Amino acid sequence: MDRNLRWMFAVLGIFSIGTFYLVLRSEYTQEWEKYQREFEFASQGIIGGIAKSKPKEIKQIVLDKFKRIDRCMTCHLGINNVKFECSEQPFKSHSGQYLVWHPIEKYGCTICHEGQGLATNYEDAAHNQIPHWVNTMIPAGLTQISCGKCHLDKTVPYASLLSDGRKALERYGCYGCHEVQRYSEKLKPALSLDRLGDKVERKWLVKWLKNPGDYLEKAKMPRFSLSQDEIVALTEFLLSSRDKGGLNIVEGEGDYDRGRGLFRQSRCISCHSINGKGGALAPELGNIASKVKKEWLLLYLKDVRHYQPRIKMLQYNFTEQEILDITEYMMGEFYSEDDATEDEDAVGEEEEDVEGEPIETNVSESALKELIRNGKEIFIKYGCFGCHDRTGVEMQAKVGPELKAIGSKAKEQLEFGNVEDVKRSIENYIFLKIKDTRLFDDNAKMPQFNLSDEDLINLTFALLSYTKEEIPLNYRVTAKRKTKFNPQGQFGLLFRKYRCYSCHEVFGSGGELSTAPLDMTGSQLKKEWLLEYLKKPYAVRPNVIPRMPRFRMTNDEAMYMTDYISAVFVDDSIPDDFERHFLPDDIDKGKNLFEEKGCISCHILGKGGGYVGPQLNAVGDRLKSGWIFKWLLNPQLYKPDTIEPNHGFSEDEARALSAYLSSMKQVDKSP
Amino acid sequence: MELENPFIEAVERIDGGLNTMQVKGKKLYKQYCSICHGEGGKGDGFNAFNLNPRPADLTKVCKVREDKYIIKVVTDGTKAVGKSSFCPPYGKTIQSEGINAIISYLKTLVIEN
Repeated sequence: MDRNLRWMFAVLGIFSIGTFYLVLRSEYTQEWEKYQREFEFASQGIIGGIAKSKPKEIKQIVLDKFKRIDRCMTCHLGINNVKFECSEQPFKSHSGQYLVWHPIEKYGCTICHEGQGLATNYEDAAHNQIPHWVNTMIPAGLTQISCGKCHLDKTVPYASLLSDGRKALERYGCYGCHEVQRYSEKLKPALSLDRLGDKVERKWLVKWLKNPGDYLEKAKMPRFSLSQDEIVALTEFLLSSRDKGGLNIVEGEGDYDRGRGLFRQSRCISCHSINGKGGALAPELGNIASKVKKEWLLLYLKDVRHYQPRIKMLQYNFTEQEILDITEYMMGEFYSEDDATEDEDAVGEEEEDVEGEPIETNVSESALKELIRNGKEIFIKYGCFGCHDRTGVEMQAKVGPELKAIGSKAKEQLEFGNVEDVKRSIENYIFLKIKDTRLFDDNAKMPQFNLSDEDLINLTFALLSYTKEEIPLNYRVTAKRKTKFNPQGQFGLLFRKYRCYSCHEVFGSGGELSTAPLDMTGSQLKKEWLLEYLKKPYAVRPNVIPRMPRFRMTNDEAMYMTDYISAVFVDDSIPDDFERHFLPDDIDKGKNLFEEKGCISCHILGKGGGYVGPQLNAVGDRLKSGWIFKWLLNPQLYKPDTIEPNHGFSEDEARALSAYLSSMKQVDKSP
Repeated sequence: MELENPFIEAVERIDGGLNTMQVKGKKLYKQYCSICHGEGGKGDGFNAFNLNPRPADLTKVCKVREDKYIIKVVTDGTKAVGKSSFCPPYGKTIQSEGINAIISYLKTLVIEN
């Protein structure tokens, strides 16, 4: 017995000493220690001295606010030191200026890159997408998703895919059916469907509900894959809404050719696309005659805000005869022959509609009421109210699931349906779902959107940036919400009538179609020129396609606008009567500078020149000299995206050029 | 069984194989340079035919010239290297990081014979 005990004691003793030895050894041969030793060696070559890595220790950053502890710097020792930019990993310094903007002491690493911050070796930190790990690192190309956690606005610097995705989210109106951060109070993405019965032809609506893409290739409205019966009922429901008093149509005959001239003069193509060409601000007109009723178009041109007060289109001052002419032209010209052959697929009852009589004559009153009732239920079932307003359909809950923390959804909870050969991850789920909404579930209610590959990727980025991470207030980055510029009085009336803000930006809000914000127009443009321009706009920059339309403003309206703009839209830093600063030899000096700097490569002056910027032959009539001076000193200050380079002119040089250009006036001023 | 990763594959495809720097360079190139030098850098942009001498064919130039030369042209204009003054100096308009990005994009335009 004693001997056995002694043997056991010896064995166990050796065993425990051995274990103790192994523990000690593993403590001293950790992966991170190996790296820190290597780093000392490497740093001697790169910075000519031993880098601060003594004593060997775990380096960690504790972020209370984020409830994270990051130990990445234990191995990534050169991350903050630019001299290591050519080193191998893990010593390589961080690319770009990101650590300058987000100091590592304040942000750590995992807030952007995810992964297991507490780990001290490669595997445990989840550098790769290790299966069954809850929180793995974001793959390199997708890092910009994390920017969206703190940067809450639509445009996030250095995160172009994310920014484009957020813009796409707004454009396609995802917030109509889904709860999305920051969109709960936004107006509905699409137009109201009230009084639709006055506007559209029944045949068109049936076709549209079946598949919007058949009428309009780039239709934003998705395809709902409704059954034939559902389409019939929904059509009746939608068309049942009409103007109580009937339409107040304009009587008379229109002239096609005059209409064509007016259409061209009004520059509708600046905002509307016609067979794909033109602006993207307003609906495609190439086939509009198959969609709208002639009577509706007449009334619309007479008062554009009658049906949709929020509409972006401005009010042209057409006479009744001109309205008839334009309508005649549009109804004749914008009709595509393809529509005639679509009838074979039309709804059953349509086949009886040979002479174009309204369907009510073929269906009894009670059957019609039944259809309308069913249609209303379908309207609610598919959540049409999410995007379209319609009186009679009260506020309902959003029909799609909430997307507020979609980026954090656990992959175990994702229903991939029958799809087997795809890696389970939230990014794959979102990407495939918006690509083909019925892929995972044939009975899914979500309709099929017509998204380009670019859209798909951008939208996935945007959605992935919505996580459940709580970001402390002082880390959030969002521009202060400016109150929209809302002028009152006479100017306000004109401003809203002509919808300046549909195309121009004014004090931070408005459209982006025009490159010219109106904030300092008064300091920029000469009053006489502005007055003539408002009455008869023309192409100042030959290179851009959209053109300001001819509003047919009355002289009084134009004068009022000019006076207001010249008095209010001014910037005091732009000197008003700059001419008094000109020296006698400035014009000659300016001429020499103009030749020397090669301005002619982009601007026309004299006989020839480039076709990039505005032509300068009469620029002295158009621009104030103070503006020219300030503009030349720093163009990007006034238009951040302009191609005009900042030459680094001295004030003398800019003044000389301003004097030279201001002398370029139209010699013959005969009317 | 090798599982597909459709999203990551799509992201790699969309940039046409360009890295982040080159994507940024492409955007800057389109904004500032393409109007004269053309979408593909061949010197056939919209404004090219108004200029005499024509804008350079960058698919050839960036093959033979070293980086320092190209950076100088973009920063100080063609005048600074003894040519016409038509290509303006963009050094004060685009930051040096942007200019480096443009160079890295231009290298992808070079046609290897």
